[in-house]
Amino acid sequence: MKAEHKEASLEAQAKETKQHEEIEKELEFSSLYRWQHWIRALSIVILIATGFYIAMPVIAPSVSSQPDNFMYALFRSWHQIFGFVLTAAIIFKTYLFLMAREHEMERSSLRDLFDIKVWLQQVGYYLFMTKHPKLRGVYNPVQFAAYIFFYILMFVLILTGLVLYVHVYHEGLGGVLFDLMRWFEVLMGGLANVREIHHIAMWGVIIFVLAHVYMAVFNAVFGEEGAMDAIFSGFKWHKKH
Amino acid sequence: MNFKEKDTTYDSLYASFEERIKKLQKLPRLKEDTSIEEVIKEHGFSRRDFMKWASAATAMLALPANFTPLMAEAIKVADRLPIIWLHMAECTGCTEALLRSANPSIDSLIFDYISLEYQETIMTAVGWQAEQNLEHAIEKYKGRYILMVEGGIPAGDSSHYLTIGGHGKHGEQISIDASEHAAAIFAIGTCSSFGGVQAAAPNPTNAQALSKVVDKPVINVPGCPPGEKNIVGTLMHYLLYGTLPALDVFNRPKWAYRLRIHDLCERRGHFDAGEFVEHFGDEGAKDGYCLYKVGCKGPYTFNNCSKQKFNQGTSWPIQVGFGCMGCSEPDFWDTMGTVNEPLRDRLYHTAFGGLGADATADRIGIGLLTATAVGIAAHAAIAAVKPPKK
Amino acid sequence: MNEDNTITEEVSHTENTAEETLPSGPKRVVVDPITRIEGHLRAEVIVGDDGIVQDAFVSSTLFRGLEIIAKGRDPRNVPLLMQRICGVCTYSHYLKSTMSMEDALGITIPYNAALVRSLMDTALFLHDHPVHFYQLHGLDWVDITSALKADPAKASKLAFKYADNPVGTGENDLIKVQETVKKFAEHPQGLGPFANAYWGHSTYRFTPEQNLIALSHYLKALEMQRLVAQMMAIFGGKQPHPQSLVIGGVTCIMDMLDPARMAEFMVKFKEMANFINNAYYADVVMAAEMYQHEPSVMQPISVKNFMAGDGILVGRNDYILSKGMILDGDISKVLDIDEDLITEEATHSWYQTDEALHPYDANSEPDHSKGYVDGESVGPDGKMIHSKNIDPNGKYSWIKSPRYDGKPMEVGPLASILISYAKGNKRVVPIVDEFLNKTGLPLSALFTTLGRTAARMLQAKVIANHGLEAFYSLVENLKTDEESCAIYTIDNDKEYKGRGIGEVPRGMLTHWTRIKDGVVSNYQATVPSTWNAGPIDANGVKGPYETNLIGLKIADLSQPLEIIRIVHSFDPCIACAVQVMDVRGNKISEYKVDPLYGGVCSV
Ligand code: HEM
Ligand code: HEM
Ligand code: NFV
Ligand code: SF4
Ligand code: SF4
Ligand code: F3S
Ligand SMILES: [Mg+2]
Repeated sequence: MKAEHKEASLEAQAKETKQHEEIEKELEFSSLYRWQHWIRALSIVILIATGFYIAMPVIAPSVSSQPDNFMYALFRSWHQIFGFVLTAAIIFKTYLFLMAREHEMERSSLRDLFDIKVWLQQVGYYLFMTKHPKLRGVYNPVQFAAYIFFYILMFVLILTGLVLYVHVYHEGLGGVLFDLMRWFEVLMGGLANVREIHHIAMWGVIIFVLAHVYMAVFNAVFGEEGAMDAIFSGFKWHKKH
Repeated sequence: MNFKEKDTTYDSLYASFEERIKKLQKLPRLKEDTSIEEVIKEHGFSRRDFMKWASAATAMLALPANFTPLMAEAIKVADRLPIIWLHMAECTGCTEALLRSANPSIDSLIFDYISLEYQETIMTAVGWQAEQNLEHAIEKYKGRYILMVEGGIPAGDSSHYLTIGGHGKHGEQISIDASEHAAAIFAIGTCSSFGGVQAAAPNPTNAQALSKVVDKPVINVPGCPPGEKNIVGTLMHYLLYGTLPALDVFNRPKWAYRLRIHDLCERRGHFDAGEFVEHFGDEGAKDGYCLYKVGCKGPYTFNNCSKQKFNQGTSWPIQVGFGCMGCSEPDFWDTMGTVNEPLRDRLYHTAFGGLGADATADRIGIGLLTATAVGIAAHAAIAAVKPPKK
Repeated sequence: MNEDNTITEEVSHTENTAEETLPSGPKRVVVDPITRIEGHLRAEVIVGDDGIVQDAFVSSTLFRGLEIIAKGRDPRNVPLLMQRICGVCTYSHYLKSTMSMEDALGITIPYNAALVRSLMDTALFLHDHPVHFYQLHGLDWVDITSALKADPAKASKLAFKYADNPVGTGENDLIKVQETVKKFAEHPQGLGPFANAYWGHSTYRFTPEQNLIALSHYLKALEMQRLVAQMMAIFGGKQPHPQSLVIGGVTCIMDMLDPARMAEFMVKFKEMANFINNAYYADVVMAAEMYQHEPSVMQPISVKNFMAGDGILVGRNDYILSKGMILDGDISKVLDIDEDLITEEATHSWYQTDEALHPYDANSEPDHSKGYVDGESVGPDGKMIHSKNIDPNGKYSWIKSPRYDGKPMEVGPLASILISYAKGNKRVVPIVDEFLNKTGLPLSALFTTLGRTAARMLQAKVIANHGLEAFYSLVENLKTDEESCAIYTIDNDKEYKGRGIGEVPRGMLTHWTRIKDGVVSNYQATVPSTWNAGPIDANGVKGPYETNLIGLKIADLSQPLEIIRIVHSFDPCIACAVQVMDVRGNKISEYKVDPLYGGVCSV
């Protein structure tokens, strides 16, 4: 497809939208779904920021004669709070994905995941060589694989995060999980390795987010259904049939 | 046993200690004519001194004060347990640490009470006579002696890297033979607990932890070297607990290795406040700020150094402003990164066929991120001129 | 049947007396393990029918490969790793390795740091030498069983002959010592760690009273070593393996600036100095008196080349111990050491080198394929038994053979004292002269096993008497200067090389390092015990341990106490001695040689 052709078609599309009101709204994401997306997104951003500080505390607190300025503890505390928020969100989303009826369209993407033809076409699409494939579910296989990769990272982060956590706080949940988490600690070869894995997984997340946001924008610009705002508004748009 | 459960098990613990001491009392004594109380009295200590010592030992093992009389009983049966100490691939630092032990003092350990049957650094016999001592001790005290091993063990095809004795017996075989009839086995130091310095990458001699070489339970007392109190304390601990698994996930006695250096650190307040030594010798260093940014590995290291300190409580690595390097953790030479930098700056020197020489997680991360960003930019640029097909 | 019958007459705690006689002709005696040392060591001698050692071989039986492990690591991690070469001279490798990094990176450390390091060094020497003399070497000279027969009152008086203020020799003290040991001796188990030794051996020379005095000091030394270790811990956090040196200086600034801490160091130093002067010195004087006619320790040594490094900085460019070299026992000349002439070879060491190669071209891969060979030797009961033996024509040790200009050298306190003495070192000369006066021995008596043992004490005494000068220099300097650590950067694009050199308890130690891409690309340590304990070189020349054993007369082949006494006089540290050499195409001459303390304290 030629560039000018595309531009023309976009223009036409826009015109259509404004003038003919031929487009119908479809609820793609429920509000719960959108909330958890943004809660997750916010947690991740905060966890990355506080995580970097925990790894290398670059800001020093202002000098105070009173011992009441526990800056590092505060950062750690926010890290833990959002760590648990994220943990909850991830578990919740995992549950939805596996169980909820509304998420059948996500699960049906699995079939495309194992379909080599769809894969080839999708990759071809991203490489400007083929058309976008017809999908059985909501996620294309590249996207789905990326999400799987992301969830693996999440569970690694949660697991390593919890191992770190039981040594930070010995009461409550920390106490309850203590023995179990130490077992994982041995599996990973000691706490230093746990911390290292936690840190490396963070980099995986950072790279995912960057690519993810780009893809979101890419799809918004070139995709047919304006997925970008769906995650804000819940609706996607397509032509009336 | 996790942190909470501990309180509720004290009663049953007390009962099991009592039972164990009774059992030990039935064993024949090595020294017919003397008891620890006599020995201590001969040294000019009163019974009160002895009980004070027992109460300190009780506290050291993190037991409640009402266990003190049991501790006193326990030490009285210590003479039923002869000790055999083997040297494998080591630096003798652990023996040196044992020699620094003051509580009970090493002189009383050697001369008055506990029977050190074989210890190459201090025993007088040499050569064949030394070997005879070892054989006799194993034979005579079958099932009763405590085996303490210092050093990693060149194992398998590499076992020839250590031979001892006129018959050129390999260290690995000596360890296996001596462990056969031991009542308990202690790996003293990080070398015998986890392989230690010679097992650091690329481990040229295939040095292994004692527990990898013998197929009997091993109590690890790591540290490079472990504090003198951890060595002696583990013995006390054994007298009371026997083979009860009061051990952590790396088979270290919980009384000593339950918490991190970081949990018990005198500089912890500065850590939580975010007050860090930025470089050695700066104003923060003079004020005792936290050493995290100059590489302290206390957050990843389980040991009681801040509580017991070294050399009769003189000091410990964090007190002298260096920070912990993680010396009681498995493979700490390879997992703890650069000693004067936080862990995130760990070098991957051996990874990627040497390409990881100056790579850290952050540098690799930034590298991958940059690559991703470049890829995205390229993709976006192409997309701008050549949009995807519909 | 033959003269070997005499060997069974000695008192033996093995309770085995040789009914049969040994075959005539040269016999092999294997001593393995040699206990009361650091590390794993074997000595093997071939003895004629006259009981005289015809040939001797010394073999180390453990390989660890730490220099291989150092490669590819961050330069800041390597000094701590190198420290684990040895837990006895625990500070030596840490210090010299740190200095090698500083030399490479061109760092000048603050004067305060240099002085604190020096104080820690005094703590090392004051620990290491007495522990060696009493706990490791002492029972080669002292017969515990004889001490039991002593009259404590007489012994108590006798102690004043050797010291103005004797330590631990009050009559009551001595009675207590005797009782303690008696209990051991009467005990069904025997002597615990002292069991099955060569008690009653004909070459023990002390009277029962003298034995009792020394035994009391043996026990006292156990206490004192704990105290002197605390000195190290004040600035090092712990001993063994202190942890307060970093590239650029020291970390113990809080302790340096704490007057109570400093006073604690000084008080302990003085207490230890008192023990050295009134117990250690006294006992060596006593040994000199009683052993000067015992041939096994008075045989003149034959490697008369000595080499020593600087030791213990006490002021700006002022060291207590002098460096240099003496050849052929000629103390009229002290030569400068040309480090280019140091070589190491592995002709008889278990590394893959068949011919004598320049060490820098040598292949460091270990090769233990031959190991020991099957043979016979004199067993514990005086009969020939099967054993694994050294093959003198093959490789037989993990230690290499360092040479200076092709010559074997002895390093250690004897070398250090001789060189300082020959140089007219004002702190050393009076102490040596006083000792020779007091014992009536000529200077030449120092060139013996007894002399080697005495020199170690003399070095300790020199440090005990003068080490606090470093302390006063530090106190003075701290008044105007609180610097404790230099700041530096390691440029990943640059290549660095450097070395740390100086005297440590067992002699001159050098660590050589190369840094490339920000990590250590090559590492090498040239270690005192390697110089002394190495095997035969390509020219068939032996090192100090082996030559010292030749010519020795052994009274009882199944109780080779004389061998032990000689080997122990070197204070073997075998973990130190086993060093890989892997500096292919990497000449020592390329390293910058700085006349100062490894170039780091150019102050
Ligand atoms: C420009 C902003 C963004 C847009 C338009 C956007 C859009 C979307 C859409 C359409 C999906 C697929 C629907 C879904 O499965 O939930 C999604 C999934 C996801 N987004 Fe975003 N996103 C944005 C930013 C972010 C940010 C900043 C993060 C994280 C820091 C993030 C994390 C995720 C995650 C983890 C998923 C996971 C897949 C899942 O659990 O379903 N998103 N996003
Ligand atoms: C996107 C998710 C997360 C990111 C990016 C992240 C990042 C980080 C980073 C970079 C560190 C410092 C590690 C280092 O020293 O190198 C850290 C530490 C830590 N994280 Fe996370 N983390 C995440 C999730 C979690 C979760 C789910 C938990 C679970 C509660 C958690 C708990 C912790 C704890 C306890 C520490 C150690 C704090 C301390 O030792 O003082 N993190 N995290
Ligand atoms: N040889 C040797 Fe050492 C010393 N002194 C070190 O360099 O003993 Ni362990
Ligand atoms: S654990 Fe450390 S101190 Fe102990 S022998 Fe090993 S290296 Fe030496
Ligand atoms: S000095 Fe080390 S152990 Fe202590 S608080 Fe700081 S990081 Fe934790
Ligand atoms: S380095 Fe070792 S000695 Fe203690 S403070 Fe750390 S565990
Ligand atoms: Mg070397």
